[in-house]
Amino acid sequence: MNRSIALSLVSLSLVGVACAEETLPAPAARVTPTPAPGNAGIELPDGFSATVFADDLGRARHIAIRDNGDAYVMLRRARQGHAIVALRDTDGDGRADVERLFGEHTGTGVEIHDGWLYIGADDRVVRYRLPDEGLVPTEPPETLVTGFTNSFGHNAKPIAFDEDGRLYVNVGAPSNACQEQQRTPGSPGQAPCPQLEFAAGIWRYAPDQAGQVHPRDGHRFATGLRHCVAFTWHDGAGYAVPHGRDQLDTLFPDLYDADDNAELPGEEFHRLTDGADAGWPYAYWNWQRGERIVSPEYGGDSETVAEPGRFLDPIQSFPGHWAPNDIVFYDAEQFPERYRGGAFVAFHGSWNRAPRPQAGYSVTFTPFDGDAPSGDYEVFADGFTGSESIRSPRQAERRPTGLGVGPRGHLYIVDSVKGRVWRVFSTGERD
Amino acid sequence: MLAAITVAGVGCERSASYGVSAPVNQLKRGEGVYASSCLVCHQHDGSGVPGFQPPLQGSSIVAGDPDRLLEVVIRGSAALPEGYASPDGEDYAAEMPGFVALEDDDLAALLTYIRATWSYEGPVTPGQVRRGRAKLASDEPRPAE
Repeated sequence: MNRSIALSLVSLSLVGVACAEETLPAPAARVTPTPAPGNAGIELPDGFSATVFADDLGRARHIAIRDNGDAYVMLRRARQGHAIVALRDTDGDGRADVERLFGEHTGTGVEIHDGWLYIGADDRVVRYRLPDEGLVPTEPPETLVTGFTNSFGHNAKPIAFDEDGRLYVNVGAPSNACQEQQRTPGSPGQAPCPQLEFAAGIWRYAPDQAGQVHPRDGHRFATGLRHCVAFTWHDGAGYAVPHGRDQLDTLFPDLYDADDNAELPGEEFHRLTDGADAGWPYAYWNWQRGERIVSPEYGGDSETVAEPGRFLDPIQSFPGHWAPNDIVFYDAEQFPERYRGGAFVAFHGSWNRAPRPQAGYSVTFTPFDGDAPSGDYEVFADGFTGSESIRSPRQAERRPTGLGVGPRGHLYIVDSVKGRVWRVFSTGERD
Repeated sequence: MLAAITVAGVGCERSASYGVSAPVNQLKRGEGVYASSCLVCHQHDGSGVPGFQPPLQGSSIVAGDPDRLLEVVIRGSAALPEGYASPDGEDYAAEMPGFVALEDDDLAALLTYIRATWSYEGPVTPGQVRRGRAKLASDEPRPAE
């Protein structure tokens, strides 16, 4: 029996539902990833390659990676009754060979902080104590925050921590544009929009206090953000790329046509400090004009500019409906110098551009100088859809939805369709 | 009924997708209503949007009793029972608005187009829509006196 067959047999025996206090091989101390043929279906810039860290995980969402290289991927839909996949590479080939399922609360958000695995499930925030050596938590989770209401498709609860260890939670809006009648042509917006009291913003909670109830026990850190699946904390501020509103043309056909709707509004990239208001649902960002426009639900005519200074301007903007689903800053050193301190954004890809072709479905990179972009964004990883052009999202073979940077400076990209995780590395690497 | 048969007899074409006979003008009108009211969410090919809007392809509601399809179009997702199982067993979280404002002729054309394209079912007449709408209105809970 040659070595690769022996290893694959070992791997097979190690995939399964978590058992209490099992002893697993340690994470590999040295990792030397081998590029997958064709980078396993994605296109990367020259000087980068990818291997498949994990595959067929299910409806995967965000990823968190521990200092020892162990990774945790959230599932939107339970697999064998479990919501979290734990992954470990024990032989150093850059691919996980141990896979364990645990946890019961499905969703999107996952972060590691101060020895705990924090889970932003769709309806609650919980945390598990991570064992010193083990892969899977052995204690039941502690429930930190409940009280979130159903947000009809905007239930994802990405989470982040600031430098003081405080917990931030995205709470998506339970509507498209806070209309009196949901997604109904011509229906005016509710004024003021009552949803802003409990949703469409980022709330701050204590990271170590069980039994907190939303929104009563939280602090509304930032508002006017429709749904920030792409949300993180970096160097003293929150950074978010919310999903912009849909259906300008079908809800207000006298003001917008299908071409307007395909591009508008921009997907806004925000730097958030306490008290920030990005304008949803009262206004949206027209990235082609570089102006914030009054929403048609609130008297806008597609031209009228919102009151200057009332709402935050984005630090960058992307075309409409790309669906930003994760953001990570690159503070490691494995990638070339120009990537350091910049931001990768994973775009799940559009559906609201119909009947025009869909767009997004890529991972972009924005270079930064300090707390602001130093240049335009560029597409970093592409080819996820498997074809040149698609008209509906179900035609996409893969959709990037989660990002992470591991302890060796590799970029992890998670696909939501079947649950592939690419591990991207600069080919100049020496481990 | 007679009118429908007459129209079907002189102006039919076979649906591009499935070969169900329906009046040409009704299919074209229905396609237009679909484009303005349904397409963005359920997509041009009826495949829906994963996680948000369910597909029309394979839907038992599309293929079933037209009165039930009418109810879902008029009342939106409020007409679906708790725990409604979508065609593919996935969860679809988006809320569908009710299209009660559409006129009977447009609703009949829309239902005809949807059934011809994503099922094997025949045309729906404005009369059917009118009677179905009246029945739904009479079923509405009455305000307390």
